[in-house]
Amino acid sequence: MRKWLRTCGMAVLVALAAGCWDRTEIEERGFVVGSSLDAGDDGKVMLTFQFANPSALHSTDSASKPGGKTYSNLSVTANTVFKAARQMSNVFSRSPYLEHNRIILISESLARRGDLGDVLDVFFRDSETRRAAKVMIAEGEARQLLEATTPVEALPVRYIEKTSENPDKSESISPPTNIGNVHAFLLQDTSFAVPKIALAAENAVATSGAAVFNGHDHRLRGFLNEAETTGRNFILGSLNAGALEIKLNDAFVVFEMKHVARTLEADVSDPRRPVFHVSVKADGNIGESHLNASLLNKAVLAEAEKKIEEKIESLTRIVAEKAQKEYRSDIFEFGKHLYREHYGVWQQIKDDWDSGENLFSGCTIRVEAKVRLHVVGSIQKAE
Amino acid sequence: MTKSFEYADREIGSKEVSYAVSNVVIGLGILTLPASIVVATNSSDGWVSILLGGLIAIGFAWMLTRLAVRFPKQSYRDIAASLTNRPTANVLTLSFAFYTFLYVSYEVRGVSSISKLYLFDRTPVEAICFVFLLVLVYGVSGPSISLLRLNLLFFPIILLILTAVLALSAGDFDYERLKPFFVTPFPKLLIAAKETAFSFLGFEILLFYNLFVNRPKKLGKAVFIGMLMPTLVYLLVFLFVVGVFSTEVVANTLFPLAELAKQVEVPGGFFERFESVFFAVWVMSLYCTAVMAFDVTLIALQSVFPKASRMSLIFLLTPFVFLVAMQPTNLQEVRLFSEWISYLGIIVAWVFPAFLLIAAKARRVKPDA
Repeated sequence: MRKWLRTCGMAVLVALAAGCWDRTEIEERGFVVGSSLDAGDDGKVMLTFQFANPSALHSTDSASKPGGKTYSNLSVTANTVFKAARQMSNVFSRSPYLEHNRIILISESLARRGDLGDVLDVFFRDSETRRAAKVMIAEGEARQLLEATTPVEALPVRYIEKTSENPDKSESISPPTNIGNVHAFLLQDTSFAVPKIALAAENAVATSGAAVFNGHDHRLRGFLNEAETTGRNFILGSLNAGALEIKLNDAFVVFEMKHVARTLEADVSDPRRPVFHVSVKADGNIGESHLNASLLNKAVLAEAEKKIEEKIESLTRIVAEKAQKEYRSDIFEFGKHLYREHYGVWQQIKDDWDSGENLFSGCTIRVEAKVRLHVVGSIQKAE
Repeated sequence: MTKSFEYADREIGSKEVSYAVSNVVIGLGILTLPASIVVATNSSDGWVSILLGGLIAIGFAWMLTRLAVRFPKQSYRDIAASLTNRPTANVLTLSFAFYTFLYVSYEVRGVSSISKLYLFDRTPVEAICFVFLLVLVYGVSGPSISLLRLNLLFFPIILLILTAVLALSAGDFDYERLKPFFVTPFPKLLIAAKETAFSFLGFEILLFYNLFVNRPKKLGKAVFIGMLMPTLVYLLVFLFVVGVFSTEVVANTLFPLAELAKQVEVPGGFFERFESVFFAVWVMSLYCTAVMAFDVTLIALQSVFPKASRMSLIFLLTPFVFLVAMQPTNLQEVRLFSEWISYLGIIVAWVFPAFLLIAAKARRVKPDA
């Protein structure tokens, strides 16, 4: 009898103790793959989540039967992002699950309105989100971008993500910035730039250019266009490959960069007027030439190299001018360089760097480019 | 005594000692340490503090070892009794037991709070705590020796996963983020070193596990290796989280190592949630820490009250562990709790035994035969 009671007791215990408090059936989860933030009326925020539709995603793989829509976008406006996410449950059958959120788009008007840290707070704070989600600033309305699709990719988010991951090939894309990077920028109070994204045509996105934020108030100052972003990439050393067009004797020549190295040195003999020496070494090939002369000719080659060097220097000059005079924000991480290499000087001037007296706008930036052409292609001339 | 096979005896060798010391030291501290150090120092200079803190801890570990070696196969209480008198020895041992008892409560609370934050969003802390405590009770119900051998099984896995977390985040590591070097004034480094010394609490269990040590001569080396491991692990983890996140982010992150594990992206997509593996293993590590501390509490109490049975002590203590663990209402209070315990531990488990060693040296006391 005692034995029997004991067995029963144990069985009850096992039944009671086993279980999962946090159980959520996978079918009940709304997998958020991307999100966007727009400015709403009266200082509100409009949050849009893109939910993946797993069953439709699956059927596109087999391609036998056409699946339904692979995603659904949902927008809710509230004072805070967190509240907006919660309100989504009122209009959608599944509760949002952010573990797979891969991109966060922020509209231009929202970024201009106030502190970027406030709208992104929940993405840093929540333990469900990942620090690897990419942040981009959308020109115009952010949520429209989440509708842009291409037949090649199943989800708009995938399309945006893949396009923005191209900087190995394109010189005018700002390096991908994830939410962890943004958190660091905000905490360090340094100015920064994040990739810009815009609606290029119907159903197509363009990820070139960059959005500039000042480290002082974390507000969007403005955008850099493609050429300026290229210049910034040269100064920042965040460029590996890409192509530059130059004009040589009224004919186009394309320089295909294979390897770009940058070294940065600061001369702080006058702490309030530091001089930055940026030297860019670019190696590469001729990708295309409309010239009527053979590039094997030493003089022509030297001429081409010189023209490319001039091009690089002028690109950097333009962006430096814009950052110093117009945006007055150190987007080249020069302040960080001073902090790391000239700590004593930095302690004296850090409060007046790109806020306060704005010493950054008065500093000298010297760029010196050195180009070497290796291969001119497999032909000498085309015509 | 002839052994039927290698582990048939109730003794531990150098390897077990090293593993036990490493495993008991690496616990909750590893998650919070980088953040608290970065807050107290400038730039990445905190590694100096880790080294200093490690040296202080190794210094105390050396003294405790010298004390233990003088009295082979004796527990802390017997050692204290032969150096002072019985009542003093009992008071010392009971205060030690009180400290390890609080230590268990703190570990239990810490593991529940952090598991709740990262893993069980809706499960009440009390429930997580209760389940963890049940497993602890199961663990300490067996003989101590089996817990010591459990370390041999768990510790390599813990090291492996930790290495994997670091190796997989090496891609995001940027040496530049560690610059500038040596910009923290020395007093600040010392204050931060205190913080590190706290995270080395735990090795004092050897005062009681001395009972099982089979080759006292090798104890010193074994403890040294056991202490070296956590020092290296702390240094590496610190440099990695700073190199990946930068000091400002680490300072504003509650559990930098957990964030590092979350950020890891294993190619192939299969292990996209690598942090779940990390947490599972980290809970194993905390289990070892807590179960050994619990075990030591029991041994300490039994050495004072030889008549009390192990099982009745367990059932007497467990409800109190639970109650004490539930006292802090938020993370802030958990931190305060840990600070008090750390001060208590340093006095009761490091400084008092160190005094005993001095007394032993001065009076040239040898164990009574």
